[in-house]
Amino acid sequence: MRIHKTALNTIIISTLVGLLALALGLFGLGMKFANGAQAAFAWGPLLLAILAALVVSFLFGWLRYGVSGALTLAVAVLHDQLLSLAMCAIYSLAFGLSGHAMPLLVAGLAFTYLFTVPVIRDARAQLMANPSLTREQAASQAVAAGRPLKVAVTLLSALVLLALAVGGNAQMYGSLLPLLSGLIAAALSSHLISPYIWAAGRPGRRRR
Amino acid sequence: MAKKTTHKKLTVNRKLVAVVTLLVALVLSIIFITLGFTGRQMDAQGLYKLLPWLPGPARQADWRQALVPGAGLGETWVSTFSPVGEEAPSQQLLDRAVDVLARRLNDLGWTDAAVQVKEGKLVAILPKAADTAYLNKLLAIPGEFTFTDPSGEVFMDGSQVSEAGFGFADQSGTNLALTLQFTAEGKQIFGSKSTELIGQSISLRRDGVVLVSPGISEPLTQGQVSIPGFNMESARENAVLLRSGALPFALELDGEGQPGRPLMGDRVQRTLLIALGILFLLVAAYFLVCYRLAGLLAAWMLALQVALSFFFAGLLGAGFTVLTLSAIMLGFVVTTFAILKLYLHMRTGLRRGRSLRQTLREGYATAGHAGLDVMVGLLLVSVVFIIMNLGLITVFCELFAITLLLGLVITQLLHRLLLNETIHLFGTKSSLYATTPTKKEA
Repeated sequence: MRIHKTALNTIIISTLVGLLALALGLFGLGMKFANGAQAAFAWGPLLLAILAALVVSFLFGWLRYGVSGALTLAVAVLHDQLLSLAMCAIYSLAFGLSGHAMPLLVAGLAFTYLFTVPVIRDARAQLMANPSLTREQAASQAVAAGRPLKVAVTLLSALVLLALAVGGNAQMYGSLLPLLSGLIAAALSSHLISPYIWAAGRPGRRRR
Repeated sequence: MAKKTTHKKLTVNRKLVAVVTLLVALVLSIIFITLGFTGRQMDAQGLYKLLPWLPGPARQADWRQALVPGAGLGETWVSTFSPVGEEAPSQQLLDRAVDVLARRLNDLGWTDAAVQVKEGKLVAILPKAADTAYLNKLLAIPGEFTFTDPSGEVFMDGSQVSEAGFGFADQSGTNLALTLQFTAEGKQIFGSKSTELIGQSISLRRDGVVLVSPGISEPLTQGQVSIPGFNMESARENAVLLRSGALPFALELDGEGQPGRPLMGDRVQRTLLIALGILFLLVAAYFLVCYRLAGLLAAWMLALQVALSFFFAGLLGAGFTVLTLSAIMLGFVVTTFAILKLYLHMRTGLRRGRSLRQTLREGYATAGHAGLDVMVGLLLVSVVFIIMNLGLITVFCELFAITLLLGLVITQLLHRLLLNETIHLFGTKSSLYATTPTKKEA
């Protein structure tokens, strides 16, 4: 399995963001909460939730799209959850997080599914419709074909976040940061990681 | 001789069926949404009332009884607590006290209440809808638990309790037991002390006052005990206090408190509801302009999805919080995605000169499955989180799973049925369903 340079570079950048957040945490600057909201935050359930999401997504992907689809979905889930966690730690220096940070971080999974599932489905469909395509070409075509929908969903999600933020103060922004991080992470991974991870998968037996 | 029978061919007026189906669905939707805004008195005496559950920006509205606003988005009650004693506590101790109070509030489900330090005092901002008198009393309790032998000598304290809960002690339904799990050190101390005190009793004290003194009949060396003799209220209160830990210094309440503004901004509730209303209108306008009749149907389905989501949020007692709104709005985004994916496919098909029926049939078999996959995948993850009982994550997932189920039913069944009926009624002229002119494929 050879992963494309773009995907590798994106994963490296995401890892750097994660390391920056980790360094901030080690220096006592990570994950700032407002008004005692840290009482509602626990690492145990959050990490358990990420692990469970990873396993369920892999199994779901495997059943629906085979091993390469399962790997793509699982990598996207892991990447998006960890990156949004890291982004939250960095943003929280400006806006303290709220007591709802933990569930809203996990809620970012909705964006991962909204953006990654169509890429996997469309890439498979492209490959089945035109067997002469390479997996990389199929993935690129899937990304291009899904762009209008992705733009529309991103815009709608951004408008939802804007509507929720309007009239609110720093406390409100702190509440919505995990969702915003989830949206950014999912938009990034579905464009720069998922297609290449799927393309790097071993070609399966094609249906006649 | 066989009797000659005449077979009369039964013809169904398909247009009439479509009109009736669409009308029934429309009337039911309008009644449901209107009830959502107005509620309904269920009997003449006013004993039973269907509360309105759809939030509107009007100040005097009953929906706040169905969706109780939290401290973030609703009016608050501000209670101030002063440290008792001549010496002012250090910042570190104040931070510890904030954490303890926040844990108590969080444990009771008030996750968006706030605790702040102001001028050396602790300020608790509670939702106005909460039982503020009870919360004030609970927050001021020092919560120092000790275990003593019959002579009153302390051999262990609450810091050696790692987990605390409660459950029924017997079949009576009134006798509850406090269940405690000890740390490794606590397990060792309690084990040896209970062995030493067989035939005598161990007392559990809170702030020096004996709560219970159960007799010891055998050594308790498992690291966990179940102490009966509590009622529901005291068992819950003591479990909350044990889980939060003791306050680092004593507190006293300054007066009764005073009404305060929502934590997230003065007019946040009204502005937020207006903004969400405008957003919905924008989405509906987009669908109407781009997909005409089909767009009208999409706007109708989305309105129904939102109304049903708020209805179930009210039934679950989810409250009017950012968490509830996020679950409902994420469900809205997922449903919009599913419908949009189908419509984009339909438009592409129509542009290529395919028939509307054929395009829709294909669309539901291909593009429609993308929405289905997203919803089913997210539903699976949510159900797993609910089963795992992950605290606030589970609370969020309960409502989110319901919005996903609603989305599934609406997009895969209701929308499909009504779109078919619309086509039967208004015909298959493609300009009724997409803005762009169709081109026949060469």
